Amino acid sequence: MIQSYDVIVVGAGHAGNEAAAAAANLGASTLLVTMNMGVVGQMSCNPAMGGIAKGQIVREVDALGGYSGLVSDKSAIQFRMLNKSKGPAMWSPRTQNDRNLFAQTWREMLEATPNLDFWQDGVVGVVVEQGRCVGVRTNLGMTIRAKSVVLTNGTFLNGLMHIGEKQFGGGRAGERASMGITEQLVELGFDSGRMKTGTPPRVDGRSLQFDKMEEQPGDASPGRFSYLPKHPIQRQIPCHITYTSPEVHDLLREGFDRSPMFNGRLRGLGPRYCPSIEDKIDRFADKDRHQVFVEPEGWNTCEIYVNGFSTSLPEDVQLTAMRKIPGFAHAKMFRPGYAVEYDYFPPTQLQHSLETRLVPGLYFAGQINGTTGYEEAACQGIMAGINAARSTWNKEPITFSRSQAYIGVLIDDLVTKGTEEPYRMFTSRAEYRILLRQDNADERLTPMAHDLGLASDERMQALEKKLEGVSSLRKGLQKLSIPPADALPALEEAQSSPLKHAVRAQEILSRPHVHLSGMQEHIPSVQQVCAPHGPEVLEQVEIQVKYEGYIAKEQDMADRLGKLDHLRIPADLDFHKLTSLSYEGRQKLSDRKPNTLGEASRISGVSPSDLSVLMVYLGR
Amino acid sequence: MNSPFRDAVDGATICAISTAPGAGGIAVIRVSGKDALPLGSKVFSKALNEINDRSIAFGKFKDAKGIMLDEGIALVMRGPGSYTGEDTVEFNIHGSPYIQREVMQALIEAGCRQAGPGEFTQRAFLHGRLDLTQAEAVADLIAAEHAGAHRLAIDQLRGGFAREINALREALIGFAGLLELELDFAEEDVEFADRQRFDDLLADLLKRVGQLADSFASGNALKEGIPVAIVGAPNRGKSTLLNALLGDERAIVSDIPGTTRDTVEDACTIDGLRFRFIDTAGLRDTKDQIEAEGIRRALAKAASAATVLLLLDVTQDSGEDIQDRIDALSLPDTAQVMVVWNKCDLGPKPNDSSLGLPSIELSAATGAGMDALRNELLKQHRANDHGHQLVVTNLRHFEALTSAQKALQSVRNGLSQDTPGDLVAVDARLALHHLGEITGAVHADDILGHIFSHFCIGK
Repeated sequence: MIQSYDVIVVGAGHAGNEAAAAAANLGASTLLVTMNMGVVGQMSCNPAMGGIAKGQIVREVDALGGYSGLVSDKSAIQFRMLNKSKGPAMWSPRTQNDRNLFAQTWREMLEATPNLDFWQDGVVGVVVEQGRCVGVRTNLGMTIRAKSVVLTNGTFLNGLMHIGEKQFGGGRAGERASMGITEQLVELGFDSGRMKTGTPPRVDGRSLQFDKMEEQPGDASPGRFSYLPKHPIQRQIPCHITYTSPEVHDLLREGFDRSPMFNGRLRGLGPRYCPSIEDKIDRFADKDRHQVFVEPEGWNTCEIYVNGFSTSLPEDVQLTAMRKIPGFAHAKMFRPGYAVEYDYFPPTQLQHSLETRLVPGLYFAGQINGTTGYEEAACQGIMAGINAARSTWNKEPITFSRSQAYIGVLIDDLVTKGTEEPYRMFTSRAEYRILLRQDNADERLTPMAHDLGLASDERMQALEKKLEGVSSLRKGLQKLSIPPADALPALEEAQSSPLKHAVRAQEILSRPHVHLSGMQEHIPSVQQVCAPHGPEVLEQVEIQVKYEGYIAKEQDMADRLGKLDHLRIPADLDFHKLTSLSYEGRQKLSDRKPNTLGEASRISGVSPSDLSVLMVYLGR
Repeated sequence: MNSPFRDAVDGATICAISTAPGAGGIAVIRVSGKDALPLGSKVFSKALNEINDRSIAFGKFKDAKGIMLDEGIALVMRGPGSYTGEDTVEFNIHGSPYIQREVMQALIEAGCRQAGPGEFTQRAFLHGRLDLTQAEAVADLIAAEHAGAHRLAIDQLRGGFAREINALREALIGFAGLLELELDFAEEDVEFADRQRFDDLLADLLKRVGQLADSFASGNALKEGIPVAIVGAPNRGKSTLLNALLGDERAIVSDIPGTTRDTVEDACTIDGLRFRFIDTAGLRDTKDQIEAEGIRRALAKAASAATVLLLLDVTQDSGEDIQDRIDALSLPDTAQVMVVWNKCDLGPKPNDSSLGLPSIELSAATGAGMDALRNELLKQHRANDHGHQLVVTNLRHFEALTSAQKALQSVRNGLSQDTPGDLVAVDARLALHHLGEITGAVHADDILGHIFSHFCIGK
């Protein structure tokens, strides 16, 4: 009844949608299978995209031609560039989103994508023939064939939800779990594990007293995620901040004996970085308050997401304690917070292409690999989609190095180090943070994505225009000589010492605390040179000039250490024969089969002396 | 691929004569590798695998045809507890070059391979028995000719240096962790370390790294010899003094002024302390271009020496213009000057007490007063002995420490200028990288090759 496809993507969350879009846009006939077409691109947790390190990832996905950036821009109700007071590596875009508009936009964009079909059904297993994955089996008893399959099951594999002492099967509030896939994959030889995550309660905004909270408005001149200026953000809604108190903590503690977290019913490992409120007051008993972000769910709803108050305590405890938070005295709850446990497959079973080593043709992306976060899921999705499509044409997989993209860092971490708790991206995971900025993801990734056929001509032209502008403005500032008197007002404003003789505009810009905006304002000749260029060009030039030394240092390190990533380890090398390797090193290397010395060096359990053995063995 | 390294990981068994080349009472041949016991048994009258670990057996040595070569002892040490981490046999045989050669030949015919330079130590490193600094210390230990160098090498071999570097790395990782915390959790409600804490941590790190880097000058002097320059006008007997100190006809001596045109140097050990004596061209105004160049070099050597011996002649010089002569050398403030009156067998020493410098009278020709000079040198430099403080003697370590120091200084400047944390972190990571280079926790491509090329065969 159903035709066969090049690529089948199972799951329509952030990973699945990006995978389906990428495969289809590359020209593969693609089928997106989801249990519920009503919630394509659901934000299961907080209604926000981006943030520190995550915002950089959304920019990278966008630069590759993915949809997450455009969807987020179109559905944004607030935009903030976080960390503006720090250096450019830390500037991180973040949006609050209209949850329904976000999902609706995803569905519209996917429906407008050629080569992409949809099918609403549950997948109960994959079809493996002669060791290769060639399709999926569904709840309706169908077998749909494909050349490759991408699994993005999120929290649905044997999903089990907990609220206090109650537990029920399901992957998300109101949606049933997916059974059978884990069992089949384990039978095929995969290792599986269990993780958990949680969400906070949602409340009725009409019942809150916002005047008892701090207001957190969006940026005065909001930016956007996408390098394409399709959906500028025009209106914004503020969020609010309030705090828990010792009284709130005491009330929460009263429910601990009925908490699945503390009575041992929850087995999975939760994220240390995004703990539940009961976790926080248990582990940081000396802290007498915790931040609570009050986030609107959208333009046309009064529903509020109580970020920072994630919990799986009984609903009565949740409500009683919450009502002691300033502004929440009369809060009405729409739905309680809950924890969800789900199966994942330790990602060390993957290749860097996200294809499983055990079953060619089978790809994993998103929470199934032990990550947490929409952005982490989306970037795996786009890579899995690209590589699943390319494999159907016998093309080499596309991977990124750690100095090329956060996506490269994330996938390399997963594949070489694995993860035992939900993996979230941090900027400190990247060795070359200054190179992987949110402002240059287009320069880093778009040309390659354009060559692949994923990034549109429109994107490439936008990049070329930006680069031309950057080059011309840099030349302009290099040539432009500023006399001391002209520079004085701008320097005084920046509390920088006056010039003794005329210097080039570029040199003035490289001083600490001097900004191009201030120079434009006070120096007419600078204003003139800058006038033809847009804000992206000005920002890019300012970053390049001000942080030149740091960028050069990291680039130098990346070049030197990157050499290890070019030293290939033969695929047929039998690590067990290298008796000089430590026992653990031999096990880990045989298990992970690193392609390069660089990958080997990052596998935990491979010691420096193991690496020396490999180095000398490979004739270094 | 015929890299000798490859065998270490492939499992070739290696052998080498570990004692000094030539004839001796006893020679030691060492065999290491996974087949050391079976292959060794082929040249020995007893089955080595039946000998207990760390035990010795007496037996006969034979060649491939079964002809007896010698009698001696086999010491069996099984891996991974042996030096190399592999099964090892040490044969003690009689020290005739012929027997040594024949036993080696028999071992090679049995299937062993002649070890390359430093290969035993390299295997110890590859098997994780030594870290990089310890492996380097083994090379220094073998090369140590005097007590100072020996003690430095032993300290390093015991791992003290690596421990200090690792402790520094850990402190730095702790510091970097605080920096990163501020960056990645800026939006969250965590408490950050105050600036004072950052600065205290950094000051401590800088102090420790600085001390280690600074110890290189004296550490290297201890290892290579403390430089002592002999300077003076022509024909004062500088070369005679050098020869007397070395106990050797090292420099050419004649009555013709200006015989020494270039610097001549050699080292010797005085009571366990190593000195490197430098004979220089006589200082005078000259039109001879070659001699002028010699004098330029003499002045340069004097300027870089730890001690300068200003050599005067009791028959030619007075005590009055000594300060002028010293001033003419333009020495750095750190140089110690000693006035040495030569030819004291030919006349009395003029009075020079107004200078307040140590003053020695001696006769390099007869040897009179030489001990007084040696004692004065020891007195000066014993005080600089580092006792059991850690001292850096290796150029590679010194360079890495200097780079780390530079990066840490940038971190400090950055913090004091309120540079954003993500930029400060770049330098903190650089500093970590450089410290890691020392112990091998970070791999720079060519470290290994460089280190292992500095070993002699048999170790």
